[in-house]
Amino acid sequence: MEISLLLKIIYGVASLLLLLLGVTYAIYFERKVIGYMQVRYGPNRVGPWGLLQTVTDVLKLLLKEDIIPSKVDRKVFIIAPVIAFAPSFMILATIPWSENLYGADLNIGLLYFIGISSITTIGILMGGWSSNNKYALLGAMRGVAQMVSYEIPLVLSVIGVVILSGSLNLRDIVYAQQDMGVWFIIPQFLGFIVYIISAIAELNRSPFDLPEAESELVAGYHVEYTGFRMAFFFLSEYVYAIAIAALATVLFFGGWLGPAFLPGIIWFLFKWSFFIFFFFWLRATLPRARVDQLMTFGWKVLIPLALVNIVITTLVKAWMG
Amino acid sequence: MSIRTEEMILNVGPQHPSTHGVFRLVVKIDGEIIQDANPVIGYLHRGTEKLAEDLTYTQFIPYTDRLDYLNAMTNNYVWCNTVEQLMGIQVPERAEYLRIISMELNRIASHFVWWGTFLLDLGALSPFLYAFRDRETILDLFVKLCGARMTFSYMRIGGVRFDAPSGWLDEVRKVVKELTENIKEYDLLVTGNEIFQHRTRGVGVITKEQVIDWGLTGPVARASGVDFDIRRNDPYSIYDRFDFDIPVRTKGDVYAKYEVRLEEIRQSLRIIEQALDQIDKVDGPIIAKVSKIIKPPAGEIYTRAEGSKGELGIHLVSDGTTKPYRVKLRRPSFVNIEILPELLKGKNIADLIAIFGGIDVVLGEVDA
Amino acid sequence: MFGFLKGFKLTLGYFFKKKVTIMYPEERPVMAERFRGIQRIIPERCIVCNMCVKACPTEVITLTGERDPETKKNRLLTYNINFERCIRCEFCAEVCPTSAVVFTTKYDNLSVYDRKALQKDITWLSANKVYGNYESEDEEGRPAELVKEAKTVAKKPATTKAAVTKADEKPKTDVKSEVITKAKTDVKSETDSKPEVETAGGDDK
Repeated sequence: MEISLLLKIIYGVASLLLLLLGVTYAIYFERKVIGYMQVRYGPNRVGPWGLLQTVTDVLKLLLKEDIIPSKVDRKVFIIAPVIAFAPSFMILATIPWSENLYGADLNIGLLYFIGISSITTIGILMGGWSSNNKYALLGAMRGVAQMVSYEIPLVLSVIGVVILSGSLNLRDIVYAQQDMGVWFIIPQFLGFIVYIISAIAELNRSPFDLPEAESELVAGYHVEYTGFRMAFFFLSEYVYAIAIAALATVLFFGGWLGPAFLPGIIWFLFKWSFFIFFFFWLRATLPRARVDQLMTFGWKVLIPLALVNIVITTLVKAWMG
Repeated sequence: MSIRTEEMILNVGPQHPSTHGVFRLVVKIDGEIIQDANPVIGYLHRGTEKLAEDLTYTQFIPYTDRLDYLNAMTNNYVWCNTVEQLMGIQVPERAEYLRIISMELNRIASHFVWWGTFLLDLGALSPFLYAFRDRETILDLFVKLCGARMTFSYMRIGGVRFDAPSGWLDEVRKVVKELTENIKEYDLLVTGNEIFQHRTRGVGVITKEQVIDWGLTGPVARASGVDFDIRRNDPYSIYDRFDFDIPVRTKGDVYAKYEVRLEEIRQSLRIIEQALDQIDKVDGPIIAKVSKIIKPPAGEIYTRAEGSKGELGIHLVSDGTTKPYRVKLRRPSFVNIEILPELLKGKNIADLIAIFGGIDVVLGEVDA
Repeated sequence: MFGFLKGFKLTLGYFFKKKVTIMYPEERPVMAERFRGIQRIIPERCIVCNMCVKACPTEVITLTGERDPETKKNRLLTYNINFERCIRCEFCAEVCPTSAVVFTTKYDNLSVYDRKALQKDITWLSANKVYGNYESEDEEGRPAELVKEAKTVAKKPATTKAAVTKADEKPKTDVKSEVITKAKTDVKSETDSKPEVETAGGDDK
């Protein structure tokens, strides 16, 4: 009994460490890729080819003084980064990295994913509220408004996949793509487009990163946080990016499917890294959208498109029997 | 029952990544609408006009560099032109051509900085790097010509300091060709971008009456339909020998200003090409015969030139000694910034950065 | 509708192109000849005319000299430049009649830990024998390669870069303008300008 509990704890800690390593190198690759697109090298001094740059940055953040301003709401202030980070780690448990490599085989995997990821918005709102700073509150409310309003097209866009595959279980979705012979990106192209755009808005990434942009007027929700608490917010953002890209790979690109000369996990990582590269590419190319234009776009364009996608998928499925 | 709202006073820094210098804007907002905006300047004031009373005419030239540091050649030119006109000095032709080439190159470099930083404020990270890479080619040319990259002190009363080193004119030709190609990339990356257009079309409209009432000049005025450019309406130096267009738009919004400035870069490249063709036939001194001690006759004079931000003018009062009695600098950014309180009233706070970036302010000029 | 897609092709193209970064301090940019680096004083040439002191817009130069009783010439004793205020305008080199103050292309030896160390004196200033990225071999501060070239082409005095640059450093602002016009960098008019420039430089006003 104790051995299996111990093993479970070891698995948990090991996967957390692996995740942190992944985030470290995702940050490093973001800086390198954006640098290369801007006719310059990214970081290349610290360690060979700059590989230790993020490690030193995180170390710097950890060694900073932990300042808690005197008038903040202390309990909420301290809990907020934890609530922002913990769901991002929890949702990675359901993603099937390959045929035999997965954390938990939940029957409602997709619903769990989307549901738990919404808890982060509470963490952001807590961070903005407890800072006792009107600019942080404004930034937090704007960020939460953006994230909440883009949840709806995100969910609606994956319903088409659920209809086609008939299950919420992420492994079954991949098996359905294997049975159908074609990855869901082809029948669900419209859904894929809606998913990608709402995913970028959910993640607060450029071009929809107004809540946390430094050159805009109102500072973001994490303005009063220093040191490792701020590192938590950034960490959660990158883990979400990894998770959303992994979900896109599973839902639309066939997960671990691919010709048999390479193991499934390699195919998964290959497709997943293409998505991550696409996020970085977007950041290097596009300017930022204004927040009211963002909301208009989400409510008036993406939701109707997602609904149209659902209707078409239902009709096709009913016709095909 | 109505909701009680409060006005919030927001301080757009002196330290802020988007204010292009140390500039403070105290903004009163009600929700998302700006009620009132007050610029506070003076953080970079160095007392240039007062210092001029203690320096000789030649010693003041490095100080003019540091007014609008991105456009130093034109500042040098206005000062030298003012003193030359007061003293009645005729500048030799080759010097005039060199002056025109360096002023137009400087205008292009200044517009590159504007383009890069404007888009950086809007959130696009890459155009900044492309603009500065192109600007480096121009600054390399300037180093070969006069030894400095930004504060040139290239012109002297009566001409210029150095002649073009051998091979420099061919390099300028190459750079002009390269830049004409690179500017097409800017259009690809930014001008057709829908997100950019949504953020700049119809934003911050300045009407023609406002331009004339407030005395705005430069691309800000030309974007609102006021067809006035000192290079054509009141030509100085030898601008009447060149054939170039003045871009004018009528909308007056930030997108119009953007288009005007990009088109100005192309027209400046055209002027430089023509000047390069004409300078090969001109040989001669590069500075007129001026005595070492410069003593203009007593009197006053005002001359102006078209800087990259607008009309740059110097009003000089001389009392016959070697030091000026009073120098008044008419700086375009200082005048252009005065429209901000009226322009921002009633606007969305999310547009503040785009509007301010469109006016193109350099704080060295605002504070002198 | 899809205008923003063109930008994507551009940034992806730049991903694969050559980068413009210079890996400082392993690679250094080669500065142009006329670059205004740090000043260098050649005390033997100074005639203590005080022109540099008067020409400086920010008044950073102070010097003392004495009159040598045997040769009846002025001799430079101390020369201080206050680098806190020097604006690198090159007026001092421009007005010096004997090229005792020249501008090297060195730019990186002014980093100090204490502000007082920015008052540089004559020993520091006369040791700045760097021209371009090279250490110089002759006392005029030219790189060794150019000195050899100057010796081999001594018959045609002004076709070398070094001689031309020396002529560039001469004062330009007065009746010597017709001399200056001939001392230009185009080779054809250089036949007899060098000796003229030398003699005209000795006695000023």
